[in-house]
Amino acid sequence: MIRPLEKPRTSFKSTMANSSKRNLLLGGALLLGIIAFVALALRQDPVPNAQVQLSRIDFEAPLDKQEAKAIQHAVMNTAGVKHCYLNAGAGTLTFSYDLREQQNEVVLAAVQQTAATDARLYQVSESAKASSCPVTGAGSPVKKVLAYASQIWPF
Amino acid sequence: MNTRLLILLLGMACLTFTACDNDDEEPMMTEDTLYQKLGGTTMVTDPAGGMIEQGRLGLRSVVDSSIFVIAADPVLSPYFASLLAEVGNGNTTNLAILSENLTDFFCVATGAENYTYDGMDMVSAHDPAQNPRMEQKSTDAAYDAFIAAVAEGAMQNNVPEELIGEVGALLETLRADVVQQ
Repeated sequence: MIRPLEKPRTSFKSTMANSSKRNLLLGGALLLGIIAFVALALRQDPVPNAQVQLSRIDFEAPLDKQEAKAIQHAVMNTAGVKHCYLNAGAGTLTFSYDLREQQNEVVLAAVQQTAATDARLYQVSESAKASSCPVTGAGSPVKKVLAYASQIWPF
Repeated sequence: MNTRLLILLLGMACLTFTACDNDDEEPMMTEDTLYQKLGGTTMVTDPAGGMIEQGRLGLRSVVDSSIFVIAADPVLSPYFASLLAEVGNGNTTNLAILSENLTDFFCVATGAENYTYDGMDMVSAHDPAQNPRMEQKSTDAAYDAFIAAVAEGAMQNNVPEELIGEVGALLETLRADVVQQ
């Protein structure tokens, strides 16, 4: 007695289709995983005081104690100014202010109204802008890789 | 017989406990790290928002105050000129970036365990050949001024003198890496 051949449960075509679907799903999951990893790696906690700018005013001559005190008082009473430091001997004043609230020209005007000594804003040259304290983190190999990745996949 | 056995066992037990008792051994004492002395991992309110480790807040305050002194010092300001460069509204300022990274560096250097510094090492960072942002090699005079600026920043934040001395000693250990002349 000849038994009839059993019908295959799945055809070759449907096997291929299932395999393609599985590969597609795996590929999609892998891609999503990579994107999530890069996004997490690139995510950074917000830097504290990110909008606080440092600026400097230079005086023509060293300041005496009384004038220095009056200048510091005028600067700290200007809206948006966070902190100031006066190096009376060198005739320099550094101050920080919130970029969203103030401009350094306004602080300079307040200083000029108070000080008898001529004062001007310190201007950073283009070459000086390109150099700075090296503790920037830019040299980290991890950051270099992430920076490269972000160029390929801009978020 | 049982009594003899009991006495024998008690005697052995006494000998065992006596042998284990080591009065000469001092309890393990570990000295606090500088980070712990500055407040350590105790969580406190951050004036900039959220919570922060007290040690980190202390170091950040010192770093921020020191940056003002540095930027006002004609000897040091050329090394830190970009701090004073204006950035557009909405961008993170160089002051904020330097404060964050220098604080990371100080945290790690003083023994913090929950922070990392991923910037360049001190030798590479201060070598103009390896770091194009370093225009010129640092001098001993500039490094002296830097240490003095950090000490002044610490004094402005009422850091005890002995701890300022420890910070100074820590910075001295980096002199050979920073001053490459």
